[in-house]
Amino acid sequence: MDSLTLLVFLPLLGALVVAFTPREAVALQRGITLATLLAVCFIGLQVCLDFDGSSAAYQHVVDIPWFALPSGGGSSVPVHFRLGIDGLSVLMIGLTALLGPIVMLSTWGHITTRVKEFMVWLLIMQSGMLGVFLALDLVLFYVFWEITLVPLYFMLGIWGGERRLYATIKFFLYTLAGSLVMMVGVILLIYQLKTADVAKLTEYASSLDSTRQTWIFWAFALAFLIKVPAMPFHTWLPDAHTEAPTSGSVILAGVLLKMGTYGLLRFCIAMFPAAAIQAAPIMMVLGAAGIVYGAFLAMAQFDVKRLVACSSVSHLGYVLMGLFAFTQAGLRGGVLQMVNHGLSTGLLFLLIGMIYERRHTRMLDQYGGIASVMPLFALFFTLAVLSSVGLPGLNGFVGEYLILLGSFQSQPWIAGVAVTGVIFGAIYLLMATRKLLYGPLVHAENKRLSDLNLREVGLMVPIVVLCFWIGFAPNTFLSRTDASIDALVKRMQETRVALAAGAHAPSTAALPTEPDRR
Amino acid sequence: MRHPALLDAALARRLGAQAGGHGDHGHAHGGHADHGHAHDDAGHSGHDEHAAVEPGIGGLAYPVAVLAMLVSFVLSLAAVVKLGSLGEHAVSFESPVWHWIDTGVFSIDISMVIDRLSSVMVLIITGVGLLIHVYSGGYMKGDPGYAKFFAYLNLFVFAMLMLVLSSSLLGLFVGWEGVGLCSYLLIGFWYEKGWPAEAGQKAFVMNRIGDASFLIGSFLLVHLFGTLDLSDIAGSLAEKLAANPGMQLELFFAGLCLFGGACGKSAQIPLFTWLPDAMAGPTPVSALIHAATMVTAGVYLVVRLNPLFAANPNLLFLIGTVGALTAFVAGTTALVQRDIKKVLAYSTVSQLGYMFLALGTGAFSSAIFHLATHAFFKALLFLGAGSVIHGMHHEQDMHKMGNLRKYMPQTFLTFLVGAAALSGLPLLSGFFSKDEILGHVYAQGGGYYVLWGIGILTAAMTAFYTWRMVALTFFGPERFDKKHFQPHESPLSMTLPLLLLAALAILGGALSFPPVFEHFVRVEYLRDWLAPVTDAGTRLLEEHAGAHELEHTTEWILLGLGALIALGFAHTAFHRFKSGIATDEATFQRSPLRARFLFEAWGIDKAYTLLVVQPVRVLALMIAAVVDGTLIDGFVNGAAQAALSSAARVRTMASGRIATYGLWMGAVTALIAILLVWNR
Repeated sequence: MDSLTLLVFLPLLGALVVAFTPREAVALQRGITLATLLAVCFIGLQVCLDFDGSSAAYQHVVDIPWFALPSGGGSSVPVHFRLGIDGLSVLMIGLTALLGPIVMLSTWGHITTRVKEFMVWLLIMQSGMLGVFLALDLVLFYVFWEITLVPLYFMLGIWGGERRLYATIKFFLYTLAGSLVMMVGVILLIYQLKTADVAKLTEYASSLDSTRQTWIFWAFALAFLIKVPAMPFHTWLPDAHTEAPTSGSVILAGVLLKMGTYGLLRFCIAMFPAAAIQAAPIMMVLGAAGIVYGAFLAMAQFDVKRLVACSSVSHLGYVLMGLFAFTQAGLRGGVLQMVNHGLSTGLLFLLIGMIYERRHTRMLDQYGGIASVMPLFALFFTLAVLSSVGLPGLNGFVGEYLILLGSFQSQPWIAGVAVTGVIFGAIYLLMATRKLLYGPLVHAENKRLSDLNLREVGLMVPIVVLCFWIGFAPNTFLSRTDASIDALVKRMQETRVALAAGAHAPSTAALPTEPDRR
Repeated sequence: MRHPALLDAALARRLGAQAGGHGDHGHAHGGHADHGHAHDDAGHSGHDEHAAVEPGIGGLAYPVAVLAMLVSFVLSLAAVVKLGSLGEHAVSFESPVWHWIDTGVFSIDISMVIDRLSSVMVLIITGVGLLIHVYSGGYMKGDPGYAKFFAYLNLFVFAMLMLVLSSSLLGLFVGWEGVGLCSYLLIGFWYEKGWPAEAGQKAFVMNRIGDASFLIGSFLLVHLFGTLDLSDIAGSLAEKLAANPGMQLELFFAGLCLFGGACGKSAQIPLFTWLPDAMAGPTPVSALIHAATMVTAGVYLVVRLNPLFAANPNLLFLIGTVGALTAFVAGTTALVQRDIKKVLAYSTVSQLGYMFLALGTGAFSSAIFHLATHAFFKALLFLGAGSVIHGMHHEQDMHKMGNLRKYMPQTFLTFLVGAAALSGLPLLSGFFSKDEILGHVYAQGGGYYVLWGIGILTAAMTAFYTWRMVALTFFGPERFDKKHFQPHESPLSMTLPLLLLAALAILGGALSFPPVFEHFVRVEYLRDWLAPVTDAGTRLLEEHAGAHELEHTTEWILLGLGALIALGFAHTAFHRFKSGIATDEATFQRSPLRARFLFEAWGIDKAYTLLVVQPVRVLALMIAAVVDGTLIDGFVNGAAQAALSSAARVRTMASGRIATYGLWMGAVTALIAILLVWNR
C-alpha cells in the first residue's frame, strides 16, 4: 500500500483494533494508539522529507474510482478516492503527523475516564485531518471535512469542562452552518463542471461566469472563515477551547483551525482567482481586524486558556491577511505561519494543561511566582510565549515578518494597522507570563507544585526543536512550498492582468462539456 | 503610583535577604542565611527559602562567562587591527554565516560584517562588557540566580554583537529584539518582588511600539531598494535619489519609521519612560545594557543608514529636536531625584538626547564619539553607584548616605572621575564629546540656534545634578544608622573595573580632539576613522545644505563657554549640597508642585497611564463583554434558540439531540441545493 493511503487508513485501523480491546485494558489501548500515531508520524514525516519542492505537481498521487454521482439527464460525475500532496499541503501533513503522538502523550495526564473511547476518537480524528489535507477529490474532501467534526464533538461533550454542553452546541452549530453552505457550493460546483477532481476543478472553475464564481467562492469561504475562525465568526472558539480537554485544544489549535486557512488557499484562492482578487480587500481587512480584535479580546481575559484561545483569533488573522495578499512573501508567510501557530499555540495549550492538572484552575489570579517552584515550566512557557510574540530566532517571527511584508506590498494601509499586532501581542502574552510566573508566591497551594516530569518535557521537546529550526533555518520548510506558491502567484498575476483588461478571467482551458446546459 | 523611594527600599530589603551571601563566604547557608534575614524587616517570608544558594556547578558560571567575554574582546581587537591594516581601500570584511529567509523575491542572509563603524561598537561592547562581567562576579555573589544572571548577560552580549555586525537590516533586527529580550529578562531578574517583572514588561512593550515602527520602515526599504542589505541601501541611496527625486517622500517616511524604532530602543521622547523603570534590574545590568550599549542601538542604526537620514534635512531637524527636548526634560528630572540610580538613569536618557541632537545636525561621528565616551563614564558611574549600593547594604536613597568618601575611597575617587567627565569638566572625555556636538549644532545656524540653547541649558543642568549626586553621596554628614551597619569598600573584582573605566573616562577624549588643538595633537581621529561610513551621508547633506565649519575664534569661545558653564554649575551644586540635604528639602517645601512635576518627569508617565494604558484596558474589557459577549454571541445564541424552538414545534422531529437537528438541516439544505441545480 502506498504511503498516502496508509496515512489515512492506518489510524482508522488502529481505531478498529482499539475498539475491540476490553474496556479495562487501558494500557493496551494507550499502547496501540501511541504505536499507531508514531507509525503515522514516521510515515508522514518521511513523505514530507521525500517531497520535491521544485515541482508544483501533485506528488504521491493515489487514484481509485469510488462511485458515480448521478447528475440528471443520464450523465454522472465520477467520484474518486484521490489523494496527493503538493507545496500547499506538505507542511500541514508534517504538522498533523507530528502532533499526533504528542497529543496522545499529553492525554496521560488528563484522560482517565472512558480512555478507550477517547483513543478511538483520537485516531479517527487523525484520519480525518490527514484526509482533509490529502484529498484531491472535492467529495472526498467534504467527507473528511465532516468526519473531523464528529470526534471533536464527542471530545468536547464527554471530556469537556463545566460548560461543555453550551460550548459543544455552539461549536457544532457554527461549523455545521459553515459546512452546509459549503455543501451547497460543492454541489453547485460539481454539477456545473461535471467533475469532482480538484486538479480539473482548479483548471476549469475560472471559466464559469464571474457571478457564479463569486457565489461559489463565498459559499466555500464562509465555511472556511468560520473554521479559521476569522472575526466576526470566532465566538465559538474561546468557548470550545476553554471547555475542551488539553488534547482536544491542542488538536483544535494545532490542526483543525488550519483546515480553514488551508481550504481558503486550496479552494477559494486557487480555484477562483478572479473572485479571490475581488474579495481580497475584504479578506485582508478581516485578517487585520482579527489581529487587533483578537488581541484586545485576549487582553480582557482572566482565564489563561481562554486568553490563548483569543490569541489564536489574532494569530490566524495574520495567516488570513498573508494568504490574500497574493504576494510571494505573503503566501509563504501564510503557509509557514499555519505551522508556526500550530507549534506555538499547541505548546501553550500543552503547558496550560500541565498546570491545570496540578492546580485545577486556569484563573490567572490563582497563580503568581510559580517560576520559583517550577523553573522548567517557566522555561518552556517563556519559550512558547516568545515564539508566539514573534521573537526573531524563533518560528513566529519568520512567518509574521513574511506576512506583514507581503501584505504591505499589496495593501500598505491594512498591513500598517496589522503591524500594531506585534505590540498588542506582547501586551497580553507578557501579562499572562508575569501573572503566572512572576511576583511573590501568594497562594499557599502553589508552593507545593511539582515541576514538569520527564514525559511532559519529552513530549514538548520536538515542538521546541522545530520552533528553533524554523526560526533559524526556515528555508528547510519554505523551499518545499516554492514551486506551488510560485505557480499560484503567477496565476494570480495573470488573473489580475486579465481582470484589468476587462476579461472575466483567463479561460485557457476548454471545458469538456458545455458548462451551462439550459 | 508607588513612591519610587519606597520601591527602592523594597529592593533594598529584597537584596538584604541575600546580604549574608557576600563577604568571605560564597553561599548563604545556615547561620549566614539567618544573618541575612536580619535585614529583612519587611516580613516577606515567601521566597526566603530560595535565598539559600546551592553550591555546585553554578559557581562555574562566572569564570566561564568572563572567559567568553575575554576571548570575544581579544577577537574583536584582532579584527579591528586587521581592519586597520587593510588601509583606505578595503574598509570592511565580511563572513557570511547562512541564508536565513528566502522571501521568494530576495533572500535575507545572516552575515557578519565588520567595518569602521562596527569596529568601534564591538570594542565598546566587548571591552566595557568584559569589565562589567568581572564586576558582576562580586556584585551578584550569593544571589540565587547567579548562574542564570551570567547566562542572560552573555546572551545579551551575543545579541548586541549580532546587532552591530549584521549585514542586513533584518539581521540587525534579530540583535535588536535579542537585546530587548535580555533587557526584559534582566530588568525582571528579581521577579519575586513583582515590580521588577512589571518594569521588564513595560520595557518590552514600549520597545515593541518602536519595533512596529521599525518593521514598517523595513517594508518601505524593501519597497524602495528591493533588499535589506545595509551596505547596498546606504551605498546606492544617493544614486537612486538623483535618478528619481520623487522618492524623497518615501525615503522620509522610511527614515521616520526607523527613527521611531530608535526612539523606543534609545529611550527618546515619546518612548523614554521605560528606561527609568528599568533600574529595577541589578546595577551591572543598568551599566551595561541601560547605559553603555543597548540604549545606544538607535544611534548606531541612524549612523549605519546615515544617507537615508541625511537625504532629508527636515527629518534631521526633527531628530535633533527630539534629541534636544529629551536631553532637556530628562536633565530637569535628574535634578531632583533621590535614588542614585534614578539620577543616572535620567542622565542617561539626557545624554542619549545629546547623541540624537548630534545626529540631527548630520554630525554622525560626533554622535559615535559621545556614544563611546558616555559608555566609559556612564558605565563607570553606574558601577560606582553599584559599589556604593553594595557597600551601603543595598541602600539607594542618597538622603540616607553622606560622607562615604571616608569608607570607600577607591569608589569615591573613580566616581569623581566619572562625575567630572559626565559634567564636562575641561580635558576629560565628556568635555570634548559634548563640546563637539554643541559646536556642530551652533554651526548649523537658523533653527538650530534654539537647539543649541537647549543643549547649553542641559549642559548646565548636567553639571548641577552630577555634583549634587557627588556631594550628597560622598560628602556631608553621615545620614545612615551606623549602629545597624558599617559601609565598606567593595572587593577588588569590583574596584578594578572601576579603575580601568576611570582611565578610559579620562583618556577617551583623545578619540577626537577639537580642530583648534591641531597644533598640539592629532585631531578628529574618530571622524577620519569613520569617514568611509559617514561620507555618503555627509556628501548628501552638503549637496542641499552646504558645509558648516566654525571659525577658530568661535570655536575657542564655545569651548571656553562650555568649560565655564560646567565648572560654574558643578561648583554651585557642590557647595549647596555638600553640607547635607537641607537644600533639597527647601526645594520641595518652597514649591512642592514644581518639585513633584520635575520628580515625575513632567508627569509624562502618568499621562500615558491615564490616556493610553487605562483606555486600552477599558476598551479591551468592553470589546470582550459588549461586542463579543452581547452583540455577536447574542446574535448566535438567538439564532440557535430560534432554530431549536421552531424545531421543537415540529414534535415528531424534535428528539432533543443536536445530531438529529444537524442531520435534518443538512438533508433539507442538500435537497434545496439539488433542486436548484436541477431546475436551471
